[in-house]
Amino acid sequence: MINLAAIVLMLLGLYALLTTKHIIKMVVGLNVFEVGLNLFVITIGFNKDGIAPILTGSNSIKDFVDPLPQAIVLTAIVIGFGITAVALMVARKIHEQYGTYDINEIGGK
Amino acid sequence: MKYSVILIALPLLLAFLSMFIKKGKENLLYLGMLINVMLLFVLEQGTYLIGGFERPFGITLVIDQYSYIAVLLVNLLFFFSIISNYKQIGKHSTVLLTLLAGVNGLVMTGDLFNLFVFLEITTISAYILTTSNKNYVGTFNYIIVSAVGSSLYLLGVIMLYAGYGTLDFRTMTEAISESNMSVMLPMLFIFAGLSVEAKLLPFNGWVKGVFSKANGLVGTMLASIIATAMLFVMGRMLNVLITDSLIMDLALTIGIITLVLGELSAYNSKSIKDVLLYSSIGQSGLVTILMISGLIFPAIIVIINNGIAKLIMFTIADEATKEKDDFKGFFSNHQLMGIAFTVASFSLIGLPLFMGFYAKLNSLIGLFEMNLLLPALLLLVTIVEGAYLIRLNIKLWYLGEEGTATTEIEKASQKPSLSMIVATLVLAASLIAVGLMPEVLGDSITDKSLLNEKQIEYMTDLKGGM
Repeated sequence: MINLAAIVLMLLGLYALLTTKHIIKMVVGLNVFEVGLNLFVITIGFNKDGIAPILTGSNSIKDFVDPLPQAIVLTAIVIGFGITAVALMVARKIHEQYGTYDINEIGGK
Repeated sequence: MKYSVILIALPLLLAFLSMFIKKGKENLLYLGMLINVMLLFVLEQGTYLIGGFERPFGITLVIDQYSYIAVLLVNLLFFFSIISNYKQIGKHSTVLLTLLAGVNGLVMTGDLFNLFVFLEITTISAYILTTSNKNYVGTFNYIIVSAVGSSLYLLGVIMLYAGYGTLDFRTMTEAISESNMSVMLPMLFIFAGLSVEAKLLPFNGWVKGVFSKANGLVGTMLASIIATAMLFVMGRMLNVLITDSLIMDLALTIGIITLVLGELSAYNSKSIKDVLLYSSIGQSGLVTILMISGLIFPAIIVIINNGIAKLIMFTIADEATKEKDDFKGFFSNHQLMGIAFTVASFSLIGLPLFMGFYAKLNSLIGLFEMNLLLPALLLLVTIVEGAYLIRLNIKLWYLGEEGTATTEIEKASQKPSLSMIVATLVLAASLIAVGLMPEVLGDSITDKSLLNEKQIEYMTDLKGGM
């Protein structure tokens, strides 16, 4: 179920990217897309009634949640943050240059 | 010794340190670049386990013949790009160091997720570099397309992980070949994700906005260094990981369309930078075709030839269009630059005596053995390529009737740096040297002759080393 929610989120983000003409909204769309992807990655490691993967001697490996997707998501979040920061910086520069955030208006100039 | 790790770690460390220095950041860049070039001489082939974790649990850096050439080429191109465009570095030292770490990681890593991280390090550095074009809308397009592309790549990788439980290249390949599970969808995502940076149609809408106003530094970094690294990554993916025949057919079609449309667009372009950027797209298509056909050795020569030629051409193109957009007769005052540019363009066309000849010759020999359509296409495209490159050269050499000779004052104001001329001439000389002694390539790449049957051996080498 969560898989589906993640894919819906990704599609929502893509939809936003493809339809909006506003630069800041495009950045938001990109973020929604990435959040959906991160959620999808997390669901790969999901294990019902799973426990944290720490060996204590009394638990078996079967109960563990897969820790690797979580590590991947942690990295992916940081990278997404970096991309958002650069994209916002560029968006600000576009606004300085053209005085608008609307792609249509920029295209005319 | 694990020099391969230092190739990545040292630029990253220096990039971090350079943030605390106010003046003389460039010195750290020069230091990192020089140490990296020196490390290339002591670099040994082999597989390096990072952190002591055994395969498939740990991350590996793989230096087989294939990635050894890639590392060598990428670092040397970076070196020459910096010394010929050192005036344009400005505030970008930190970014350039991270970019160097990123491309080194891209070509060496043996881990799928690690590849994603290095892809992002490289592309984020590239975004920041392209902001110096002042064409922010182009940069924004690049960010959006590239971010979605690499997300698709990650989606594909994580689907494969869900299926096979590993991220290691070699383990993954073995697992895929043993199972009957369909892996078409994740492979499609991976291919699409990498195509964005490899400039394949239809994912290359960002290229024009980024390149058409790029200065020498940004142009060479993107068209020569990142392109080289990405084509090597693409080649590895297409030969080792992506095995699905439908995806291969799709990739072949995309490669052919990219080659034809790229070269035709180059033919129709007037501006010197537009010609070069469309020609880069065409070369990406050619490399994709060769890689899919299993002709790894010709593909590598095409990549080397394209990397060196594009470095020379983008550097000089920027110099030629710096003062005024009209570049007619620029070389009549700058003969040395003209010679380097002409050598690079002749090599790109594939005329004899230049390295490009062996690139085209080996590609044709390989392709003729498979069918007749592809070699015919390649020959036709070469004619188009020759037409527009020679036309460009004529424009640059001759003033024409309406052109005016530059005055002495103008000449003095646009005096190019000595290091640029020396660097471009050295690179041009290397193109001729390889053209005269092609056995150099064969010796260093396969230890055997240039001929085709050795490639099978080379392929197994490649797979075994992964």
